[in-house]
Amino acid sequence: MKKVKMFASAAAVAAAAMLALTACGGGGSSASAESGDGNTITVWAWDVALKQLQAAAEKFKETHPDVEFTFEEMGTDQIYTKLATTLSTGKGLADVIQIEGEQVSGYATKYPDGFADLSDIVNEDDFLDVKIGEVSANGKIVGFPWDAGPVALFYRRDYFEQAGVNAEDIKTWDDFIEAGKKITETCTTPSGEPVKMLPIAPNGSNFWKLILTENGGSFFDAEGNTIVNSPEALEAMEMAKKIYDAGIAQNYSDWAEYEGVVVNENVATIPEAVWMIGTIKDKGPDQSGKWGVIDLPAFPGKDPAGSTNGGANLVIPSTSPNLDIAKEFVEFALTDQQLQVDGFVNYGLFPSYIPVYDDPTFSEPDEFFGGQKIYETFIKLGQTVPSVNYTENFNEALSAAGSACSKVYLEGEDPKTALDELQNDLVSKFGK
Amino acid sequence: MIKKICVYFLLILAAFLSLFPFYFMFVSGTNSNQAILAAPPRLIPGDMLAQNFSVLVEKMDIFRVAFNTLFLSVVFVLLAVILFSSAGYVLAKYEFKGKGIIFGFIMVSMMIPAQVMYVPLFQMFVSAGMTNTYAAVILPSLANAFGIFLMRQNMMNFPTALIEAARIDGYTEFQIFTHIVLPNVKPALSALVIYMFTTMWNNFMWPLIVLETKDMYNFPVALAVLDGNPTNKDFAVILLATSIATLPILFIFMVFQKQFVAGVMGGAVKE
Repeated sequence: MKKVKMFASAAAVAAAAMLALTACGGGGSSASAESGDGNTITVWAWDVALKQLQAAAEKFKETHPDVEFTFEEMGTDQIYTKLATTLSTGKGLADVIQIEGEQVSGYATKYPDGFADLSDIVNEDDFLDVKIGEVSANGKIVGFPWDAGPVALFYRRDYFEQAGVNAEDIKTWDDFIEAGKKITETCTTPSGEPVKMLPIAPNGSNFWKLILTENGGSFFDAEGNTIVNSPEALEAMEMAKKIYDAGIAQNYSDWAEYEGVVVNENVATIPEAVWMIGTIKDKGPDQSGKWGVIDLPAFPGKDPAGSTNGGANLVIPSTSPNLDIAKEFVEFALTDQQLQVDGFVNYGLFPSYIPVYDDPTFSEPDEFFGGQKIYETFIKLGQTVPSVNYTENFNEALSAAGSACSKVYLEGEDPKTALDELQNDLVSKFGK
Repeated sequence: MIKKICVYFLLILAAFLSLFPFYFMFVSGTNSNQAILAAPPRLIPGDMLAQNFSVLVEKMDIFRVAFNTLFLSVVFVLLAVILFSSAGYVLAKYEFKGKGIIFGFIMVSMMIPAQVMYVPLFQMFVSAGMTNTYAAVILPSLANAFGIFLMRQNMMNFPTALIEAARIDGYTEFQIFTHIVLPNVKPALSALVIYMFTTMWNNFMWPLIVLETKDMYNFPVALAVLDGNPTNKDFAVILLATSIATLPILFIFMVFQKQFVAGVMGGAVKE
């Protein structure tokens, strides 16, 4: 009989547990995104952006005491998975959602009515062109531009000095290669390895994409047609190959190794977006005073220009029951001068809202960077970056571009052949 | 002799290759980010454990997450054992009309990829007002063809003569199941427990979709949040959290591993 009892009691426990679970449901879902009582705004965002939005909410409540907020911290992948399911069903969405810049138009094209039209609260002249490009889709403004990722060249003052290279003299990528050869020959890291000029992931398209944007090219034209074998793209690929073949690149393959080149002091420069300031300070705290920032080297015979990498925007689902108040909150959070300055100072969120740049904070010197006024460089370069049309095919194009780049870097394929092949591949996939 | 040395050498090498990532994960939880990212990385325990842990606790309610994960796994395993063993028994030892079709349907459901079902499932749970509940995580996993299949295969080998003898002796059908059959398929049950426990412990995609608030997250979802910043990662804290999430499953596997292997083999050979 003992066995029967055990089995029966196990069944009873399980049944009771199941009941308890269902009962939990009622209470648990009260915080759900769908409460829709007209004054609770649910926010999905990651890491520091969430903290910044929480600070903005506190300030917003001073003038809107009846508005409540629910904040859910999520990672980027998590937000995209959730978006895919919730946009298809139109249910369970938050009211305010953070999305990486390059991904906005993809979701907006796949779900044309998914995001609310923010044309009435986004004044295009007030934001960096590149950010307006990110949030434009279907002829509408579907997101509110937030932090920008203008790219400049981070460099190690100590390595440059050792090799007798003057940072101001690096005007073009050809100068960059010459300086790189000198530094590679002269300098060694604290652990005795030779110092390389810059990190490149030979299995990815990061570096090519970065200088492609600088050179005025992009994956798609304004109509969404693939243009990866344009003259600008070819010039960028040839330059990338030239730099890689010069033997001045430090290979890396993933994010951990990328941060590793900072920790191990393997490289003399990093062409990267403004958020790299935070990563460098975090991962190389003992390198204070050794870093500086200069313009991105230009293509020979061309004016210096900037590039872009990363940065996020906020979107509001059109099904949000709190649409009006959510719009008001987003506009407030992303255009209030003091909030934008705080977000930058506390969390490194570099605003794309141009009027804020007049704030004295952005012309202050940074001790970590040898007392240089580094933000002015990023502001200047950020305004030169043209608007890019990302389209819903961006992710697929990016991964295909990665294999094209690895063929060029590692298998010595001719840049023109590789890009023509990439163009044909993408056109047959996307139909344009 | 030489052959033996070679075999042992290869085995030790393989063990090293599979155990080293675990070792590195555990050790890195006690080191700083700088030490982890250095070349070569620090491979001996450091003194950062307390600091990493305090950062971790600040970023994620680890006790709540541990409770959620454990609760989900234990309740799921209880229900799964009852459901799958009885369903497997019926499909193995009873003859009734439509048995083949029912079993066929169950097997065919294994061919439907989970990704196809996420959107309709999510829609169902939204309509039922059950999103963000434990039940929403557990219920879909209970429709698990593999569990039923595993139990059926193991019970097929059970001698029918024994069941008939018990019937003649006056046992009820339920008593036969609990007294005669279940005690004899213990290895298979252990395999089921360990398999279902790990499945639920590691369950990521569906909880990610259906859970909405931080206080409901299980380990995989909470770890994804911890790893959420694309441009500046706190590897030490992430690896410490991963270590904490891995320990229980490692422990369970060590306790049950003999039965695990035996149970999986159970259905393999047919006499």
